[in-house]
Amino acid sequence: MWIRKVLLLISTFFSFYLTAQIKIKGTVSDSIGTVPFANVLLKDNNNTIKQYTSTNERGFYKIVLKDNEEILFLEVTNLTHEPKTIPLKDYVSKNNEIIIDIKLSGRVTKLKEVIVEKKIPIVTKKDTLVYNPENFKDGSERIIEDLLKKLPGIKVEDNGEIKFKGKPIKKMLLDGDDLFDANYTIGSKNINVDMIDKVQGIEKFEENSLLKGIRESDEVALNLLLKKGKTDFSGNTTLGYGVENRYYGNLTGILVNSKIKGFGIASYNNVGQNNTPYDFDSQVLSLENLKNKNLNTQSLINEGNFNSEIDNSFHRLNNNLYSSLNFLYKVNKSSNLRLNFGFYDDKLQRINKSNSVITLENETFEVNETNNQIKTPQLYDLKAQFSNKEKKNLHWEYLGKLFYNKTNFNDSSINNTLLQNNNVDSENFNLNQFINSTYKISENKALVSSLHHVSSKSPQTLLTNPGTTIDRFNNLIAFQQNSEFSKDYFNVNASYYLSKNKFKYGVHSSFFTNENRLNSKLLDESNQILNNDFVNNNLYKITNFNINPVLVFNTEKYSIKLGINAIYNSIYFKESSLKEENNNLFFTPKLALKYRFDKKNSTTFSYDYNQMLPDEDKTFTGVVQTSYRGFISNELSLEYLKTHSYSLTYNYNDFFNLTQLSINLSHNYRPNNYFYNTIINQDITIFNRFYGNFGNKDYGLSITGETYFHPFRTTFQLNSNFNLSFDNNIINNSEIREIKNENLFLNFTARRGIKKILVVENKTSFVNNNFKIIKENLTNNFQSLSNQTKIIFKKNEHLNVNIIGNFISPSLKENNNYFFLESEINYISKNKKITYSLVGKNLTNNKMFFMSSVTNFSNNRSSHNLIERYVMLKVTFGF
Amino acid sequence: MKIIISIFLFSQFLYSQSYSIVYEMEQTDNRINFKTKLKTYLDGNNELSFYEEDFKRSRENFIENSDARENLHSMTNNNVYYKNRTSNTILYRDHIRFKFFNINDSLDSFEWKLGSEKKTVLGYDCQKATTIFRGRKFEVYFTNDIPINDGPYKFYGLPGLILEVYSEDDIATIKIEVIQINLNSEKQYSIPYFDSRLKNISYQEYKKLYQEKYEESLFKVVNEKGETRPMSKGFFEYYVD
Repeated sequence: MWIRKVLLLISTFFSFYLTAQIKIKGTVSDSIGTVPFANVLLKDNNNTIKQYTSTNERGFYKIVLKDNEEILFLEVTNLTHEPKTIPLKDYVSKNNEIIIDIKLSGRVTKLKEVIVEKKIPIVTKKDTLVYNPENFKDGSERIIEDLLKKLPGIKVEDNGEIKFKGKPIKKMLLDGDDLFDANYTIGSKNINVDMIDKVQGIEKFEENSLLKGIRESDEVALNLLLKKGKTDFSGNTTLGYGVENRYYGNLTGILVNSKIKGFGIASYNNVGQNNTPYDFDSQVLSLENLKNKNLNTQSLINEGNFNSEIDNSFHRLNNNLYSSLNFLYKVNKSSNLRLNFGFYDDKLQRINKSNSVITLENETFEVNETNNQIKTPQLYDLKAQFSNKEKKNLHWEYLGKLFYNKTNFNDSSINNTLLQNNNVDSENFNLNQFINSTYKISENKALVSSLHHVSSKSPQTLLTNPGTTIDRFNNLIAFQQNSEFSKDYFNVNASYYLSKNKFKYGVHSSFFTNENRLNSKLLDESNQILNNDFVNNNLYKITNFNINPVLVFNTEKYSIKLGINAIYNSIYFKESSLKEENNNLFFTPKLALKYRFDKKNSTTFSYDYNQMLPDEDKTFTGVVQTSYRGFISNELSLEYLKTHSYSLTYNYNDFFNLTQLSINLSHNYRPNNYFYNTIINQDITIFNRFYGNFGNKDYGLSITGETYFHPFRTTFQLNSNFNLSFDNNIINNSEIREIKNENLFLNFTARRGIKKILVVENKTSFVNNNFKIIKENLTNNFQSLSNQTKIIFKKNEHLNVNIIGNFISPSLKENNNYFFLESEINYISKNKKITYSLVGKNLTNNKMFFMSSVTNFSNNRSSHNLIERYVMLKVTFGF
Repeated sequence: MKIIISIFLFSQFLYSQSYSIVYEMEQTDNRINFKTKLKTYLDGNNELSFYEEDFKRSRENFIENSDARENLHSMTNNNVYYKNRTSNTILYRDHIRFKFFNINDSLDSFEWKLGSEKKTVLGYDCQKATTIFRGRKFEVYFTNDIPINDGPYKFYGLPGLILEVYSEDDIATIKIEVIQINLNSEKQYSIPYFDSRLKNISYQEYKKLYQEKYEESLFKVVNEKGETRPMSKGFFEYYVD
């Protein structure tokens, strides 16, 4: 009303007139005494609190009124008393103070409560960690591999293998779909980083969604979520030309829509790079083959030595064309059809020279060899997979793989003084089919069954011209060796899984037949078989039935895994008139324990016992020629090879002090094994493997660690390995030689950043190898040292330069040292769409690389040629 | 007679004037787009209170069951903020790169600015207040109808119970909303379990140590490409400017 308005006017006048602010104070009490910690509020006429304070332990409060004409009420509230509201207009200030004492009465009305809660479902995926690439990129990443290296918890090894939280990933999925199967490096080394929206790291990965939570899974996987709404088709290309005659080309494209996902790459290079999943330099063709070693036929005839202790980019003279096409088609809501096709064509060249001094008890002689090698592999790889997940509790899938490899290896060799031309033609066929179904019985029970069939063969032919003389007196001269392994494998498997509280049980039962055949013959000049010692026509068949129950128990402090395998084998071996049959039943146990002392310290112990039949490459008795001077055969034995393996590991992880340490002790004991009986002379070497019932064992100690020392701003890393092994062999009809081998490997790295634009890293490696023939008291020793220094200069987001210098002393006893220098300058355009690189390799122009090594009976010096110095300009852009 | 009865009644009030509030918290780490939803519990009386964030249950994919809450301050690894009005402190446990400490912070750390926006939450009239607490801006809604000076997390000092908290920036988005209010609980309280093996430090000491470790992380080169991986500057609170 109007009185109020007048009073308002007067009070504003007062407050405006007086420069000092008005203070309100007083005491709050109730019928018993003062009331401490009561809220004192100043409110406007909208019931909005403008200022507040509270009474102290003695019930006293004071508050300075901020010039605010809206404040009209003083309110006192607390839990135990009824609230009291006092209009300020009833009071007049005296000396800029208003004293208001308040009397409260006990609370009578109960405070309103809300007991019924909103029911909101909690959904968190606890085993998945999602990374947002935008937060980790610095603009220099082009392919996914570059991005993955930056994400915490993810590590990419030199061969492209990806590890998440220390474990190798089982799969790399695209939007949850498995486009690449085991060869995920096709994707990680080629897909453009701009296509990726998020990266998910999945722990306890279970490919089979019906088994999640039922089967114990220690696997990890990555899932790349693609950007939606981005162009359906995109890719990028790199083109490079270098002097002299060095080419590099790479084209990748990715196609995504709701029905189909496709990814293709085509690449060509002759600068030693290998971005394919296949590696013809080493014994293992690919990561996929490594996992399925026993499902492919072996090849006995040697296809060249292209190994080196230095990096591929220095010595791998190649001419490589590679193409891969991958498609995933969504047939129905939950069914997928996946097709992968790979093609690989290469020409590898190398000139090797070697000198070996063989020292035995009674003789010493030298072998000199020169090899001019050309290897041309060609490979076709086709995979088709259909998976049906339409029914909620029953999933099934079919996977078919067809693999064909054709290789020609030509070697112009000089064996001491004999010049020969050697030609190996080999093929490898492999058809692998797999059907699997999963039935989820209940929340914690499931049944998995599968059928698997593999059919494979690898025919090889070696022609040597002129032939190799095996025995001059008996006129045994080898001209042509034919060798073909073939395999037929069939397996039926049923597994039952049960999960209960902290236990997970699994019972696996399987039946398989593994039939291996070797047909080989060694022919002379007139295409006649030399004699029966050089022929193989065998059949080696294993029929197996086994039941394997496994129990896993997990708590926060410890984990236990216990398994026992009951195995029944029926063996059949036939070679012309020789026939051997055998049936056995035996048990192999496995135990693994893990104990976590606390967050920083944990230890694991494992023991397993294995009893294995010899592989088909150890059961043939006819001699097979493997190269112009090498021959191999075995003495047949179908005895089981027993191995006891022990391993004890201690892990220390202190993230707070950025220190990690891992110590591992391992021991393998084999009461019986296969040993080599070697006959070696200047012209030829014959290896004969025989079964020995004497033991052979090894001990290993490895220590790896890393720490950051802030006063030096440097990270230090140590990688060390010491191995002690005891072996036996026979050379040139000697007695059994007991060999003790000590092998030490040390690698020490220091890395430091300087003012954020410069990074320096230094790696030093040392190898020491000792052989001792115990009875003869002969020793042999070898040491090598290498040091790599890397300097990275990052001017800004657009320009970076790196220089790498390698100092190598392949054998410390000799004064032969190498220095390799390489450099790369990268410039990224302003819009980040084009990258220019100037690469210089082998700038000190080393042409040959000499190395030394020792074995338990020889000292070897060898050398091979290198890729000569070149400078290349590369341009990369996306579309 | 009247006086005796009123004393008796008054002391009854003292004992039963404790509160038990349940919130639902949703915390999103915006750097890696990782969302966590969990329940949090605020229990206390006029003198002290305990705020527990139930991360343990959230990780076990717990399906909602209102009776299945474990005892307060049980030996779980959940973090508990223990506020004590008399000593004016907040006691809690936190870590720097997985090394844990018992930290002693002060209840006086908040400077609240009252706003004029209002809204109704669970039937209570609430008023908005904002604060910038250690580098992060928070918006809260508190209700004068429940004259408890408490709230979730470390929040303290507003003239009413805080029912909602909201904060968002590049690092995190935090939302805390009340879902249950019980004002007549009869619980008795004792000091929560603080692991005596951990070091006891003040908040200032913790902040200083965090800054030292952050410095280190700026210089440690983690891989061959010369990259470093700096620690974050903080999450709920920022320790580094």
